[in-house]
Amino acid sequence: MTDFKDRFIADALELLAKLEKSLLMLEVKPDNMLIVEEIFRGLHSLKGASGMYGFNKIGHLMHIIENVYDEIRDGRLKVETEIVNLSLSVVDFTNNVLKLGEDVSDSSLSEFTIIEKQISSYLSEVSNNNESVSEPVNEEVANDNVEKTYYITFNHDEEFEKRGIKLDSVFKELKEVGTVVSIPVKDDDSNIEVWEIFVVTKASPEDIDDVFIFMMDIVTIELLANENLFKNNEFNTVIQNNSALKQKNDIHYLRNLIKGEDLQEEKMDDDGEVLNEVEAEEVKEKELEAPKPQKSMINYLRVSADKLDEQMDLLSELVTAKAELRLIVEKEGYEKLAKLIESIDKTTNRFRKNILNVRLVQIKTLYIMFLRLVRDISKHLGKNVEFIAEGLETELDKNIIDSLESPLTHLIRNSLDHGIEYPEERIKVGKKERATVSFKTYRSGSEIIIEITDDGRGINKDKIRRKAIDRGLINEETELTDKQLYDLIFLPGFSTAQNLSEVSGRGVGMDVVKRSINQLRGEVEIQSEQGKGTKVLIKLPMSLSIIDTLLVQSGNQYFAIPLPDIQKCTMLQEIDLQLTDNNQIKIEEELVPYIHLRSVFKIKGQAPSSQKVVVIRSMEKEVGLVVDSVIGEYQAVLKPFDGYLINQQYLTGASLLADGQLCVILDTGKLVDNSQLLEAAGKVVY
Amino acid sequence: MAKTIVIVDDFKTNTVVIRHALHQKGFEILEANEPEDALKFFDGRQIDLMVTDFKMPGMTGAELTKAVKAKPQYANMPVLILSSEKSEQCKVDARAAGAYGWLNKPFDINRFLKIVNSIFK
Repeated sequence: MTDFKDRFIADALELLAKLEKSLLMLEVKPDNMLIVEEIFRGLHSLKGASGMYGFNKIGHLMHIIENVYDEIRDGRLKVETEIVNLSLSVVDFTNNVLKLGEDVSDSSLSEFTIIEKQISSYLSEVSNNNESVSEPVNEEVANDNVEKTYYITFNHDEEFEKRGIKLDSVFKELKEVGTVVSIPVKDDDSNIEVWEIFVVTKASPEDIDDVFIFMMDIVTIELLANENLFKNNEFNTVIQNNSALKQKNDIHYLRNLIKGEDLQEEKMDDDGEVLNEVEAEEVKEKELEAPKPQKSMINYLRVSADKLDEQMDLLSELVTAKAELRLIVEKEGYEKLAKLIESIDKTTNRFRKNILNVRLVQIKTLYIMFLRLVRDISKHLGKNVEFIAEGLETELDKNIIDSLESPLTHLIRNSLDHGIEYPEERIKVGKKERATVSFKTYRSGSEIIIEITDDGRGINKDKIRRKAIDRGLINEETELTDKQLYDLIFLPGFSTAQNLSEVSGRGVGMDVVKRSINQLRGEVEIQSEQGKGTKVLIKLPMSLSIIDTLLVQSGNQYFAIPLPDIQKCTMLQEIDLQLTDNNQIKIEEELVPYIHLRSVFKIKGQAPSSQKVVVIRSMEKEVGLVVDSVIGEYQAVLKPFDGYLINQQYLTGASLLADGQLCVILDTGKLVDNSQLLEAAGKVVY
Repeated sequence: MAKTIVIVDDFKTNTVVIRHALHQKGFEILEANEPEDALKFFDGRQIDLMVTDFKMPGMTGAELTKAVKAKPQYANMPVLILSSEKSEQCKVDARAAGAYGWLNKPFDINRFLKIVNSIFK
């Protein structure tokens, strides 16, 4: 259940943040009923959920403050600064309490009582005729362990059938609750079968309600006595006689059988609460009078992500159409249209930025979860860990954030479990007793970089190497760079831990981590220094569907290269290639390995005499791509591959060009990274 | 065949918890945090129970129930509402829409499971 508790806290904190915003807005626009409604909804959600996860005191606080907004909704109260202040203090208090991960405890109890009193006294001040706003925190049901007799009756009619209720199962359920005597009788007027049931049980009224949960409105449940009436001879005689006569029991008569007993006469509704009908009627009238929210006042909208996705798709089509138009204009030379195209260009660009922005969510939402994770796990493991976060305001596409939750959780668990040493061990090797795990996020061009760093023991390279040899992944002689070595960790089932622990199984799942990151068109890399710590670097695109690229051509095939990865473009003369040693080309005094796109993609035909080189840089490595020609910048609407193309090695997807031709989008990371490819190009790479 | 249950609650933790609990009991779960999304589940497939919050953005649990039950295939499907809404009117609305079950939040998850089990007995 703790997992859920953590989730609840994260969700609740998010809700509280929203509440805070709404409250501040309400202060500025006290008449805006939409804001009131939103606040009410937020409090209501928090109230319900708090109770479910054992945060009863917080639930109670939410309940009493919710009442205030209920009054406002119904027009009985007006928004005042005092209300906003009180609400904000509830939000702050709850925030603080939740961040500790527990319900109101001894240390915060006094503050809780003060806030509670403030709200109740405010309410009693403003509404003298409405006393019953605040309820005691602990409504203890008395007589919990006493046998009680209930009288239940319902008509076994069409309605019963319509709801698909089976009489057998109702009785069966009921027998699990207590001792049951059920009597079928005939209704005097109609010929409908009426059931009368007497149940003796120690169970709570709720347990009985649960049995009849789908027929609450057609069943009558009454508490007859706070004792076992089956032990009462007179009672037994009466019901037996009536039963034999198929005659309905007179409840008042039965009640009177039990003299001197303090009986509850009210009819319970399904909560066991007594509903005052007059009051309910009043509320209804007030509701009708409540001012209608005005449309112009909308400040926030909840939009489903699907709708945004759809917008994105539409925009993608617009971008393609625009490119097509531009192509025609350029070919046919409609001078006058050129300016118009320019402005359409600008607008679509802004539009695109705009939509992307709407979808962006701060990474902070993840941080809150991780904060708890680190706290709980380090406590569980007996390690002393400080969790440092940087760049929490960094924004990422909502879809990416959601998909990051599980791989990042895994990485942090790994750090805590395997990276960080126990305090004694740290002291022994001269490290600070308190370890650090840092979670750093920043933007770099159109990429987001996430770094998870620990100052733990680092990765034992020899161990990995030995394991790889044992598994036949590499030979004794294979020379590997550190990066290549660490990349082995991402292979399925590659595990370096001797014992799989409860917190995380090292290695298990690292392949899954890599896969989930790759699915987001991201890259993951490990850097480590033994004894000093490990850093996991994740690079992600900010958005998934439209990317700026450079369009190039080799043979008849178009390729799009993501713009941020391009270092430089240059002419390539045949003579350059002849002069270069070991397939490295000298560009601005630097030797860069190069590959021919023609050979990678097996394009037939003769390359033109003047080719171009596009130098791409990814994962801190550079490679020159030799192409026939460079066409220009191009906004590619990425359509990911599916089906049998999904494992396509050097491509991330395809895009439709303005004139209907297909262009493929190069996966620069993989092109740069692939040693085989570079070796095939006749190269010593590393 | 496993029974299929649709869960709707705009508070994500709730759907997660309920899904988890029901999943362990072998139910197939379809989960939505928006009533609009929940409606998409009712596309002709077999659904044996809907468990929904009452107060949600865009649509109440009663309105959702009504929309679902308008499709003849789901007209007799039981609907259980989980809500901390205490107004009697909401319950009346829910019943009128065909949602006969109402369980007050907060509830005990075991109690909830017992109820769900009893529906399929």
